[in-house]
Amino acid sequence: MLYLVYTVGGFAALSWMNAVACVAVVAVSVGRPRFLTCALAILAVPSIAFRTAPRAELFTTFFFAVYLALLWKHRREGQAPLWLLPPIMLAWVNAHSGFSAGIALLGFYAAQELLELCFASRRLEAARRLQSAAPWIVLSVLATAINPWGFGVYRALLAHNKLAEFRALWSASGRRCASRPPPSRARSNFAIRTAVTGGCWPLRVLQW
Amino acid sequence: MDLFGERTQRIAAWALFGLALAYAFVAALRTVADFRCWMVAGDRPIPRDPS
Repeated sequence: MLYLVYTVGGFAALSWMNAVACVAVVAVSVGRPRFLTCALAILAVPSIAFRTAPRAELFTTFFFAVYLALLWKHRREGQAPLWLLPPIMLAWVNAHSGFSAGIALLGFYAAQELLELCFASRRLEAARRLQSAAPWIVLSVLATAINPWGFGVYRALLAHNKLAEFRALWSASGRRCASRPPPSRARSNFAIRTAVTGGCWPLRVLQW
Repeated sequence: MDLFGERTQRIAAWALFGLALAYAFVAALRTVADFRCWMVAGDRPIPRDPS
């Protein structure tokens, strides 16, 4: 897709796409504008801009924000267009390996609702929400198989993780050789990812 | 004009929302402008790191 954009409009088109993606992530993360939510969004902009650079990870940043917004809306209001989850996952799994974050998010949502079942006062609502979300969650997981490798894409994910470990090891040994202590790229990447994705939670929570 | 009225707060929130979106737009373009990959792709020499 990035190549298609590049073919159509060159670097300029890629840059515009980057800017539009960044704006879209901020808009989706904020949802309905509230003063404090918008202020927090402004603080998060540099991290989001870094993560929506014109590379495949852009799709993960955007889709993660959409997933979080949909699931949170469903949790708060009991109704959200959850039918969007499977088609988004279909695009996501074919765009970037970060789709695993979406699966984790679905698992987290389901676990949260299952925990609510333990409380008698919230059981009915939680059961109703989970019942309406379950088909879309299952379809989303199944949608991950619709890619050139089928479910084999999960094996590729494991290989990718091993590669990341190797890179971290390589980076650490390189540091030792150079005898200077800058933070490893892997670690700083993790910190940035955590800041961006974790930053979305307070943005949504503050919409109470 | 009531500074703490619901309407004022709503206008302020929407103004800040617009500011956030505008900032996101500019910050994204700035990020791309900083990217060295454009230099590589354009077959231009990568500037030396000041450090």
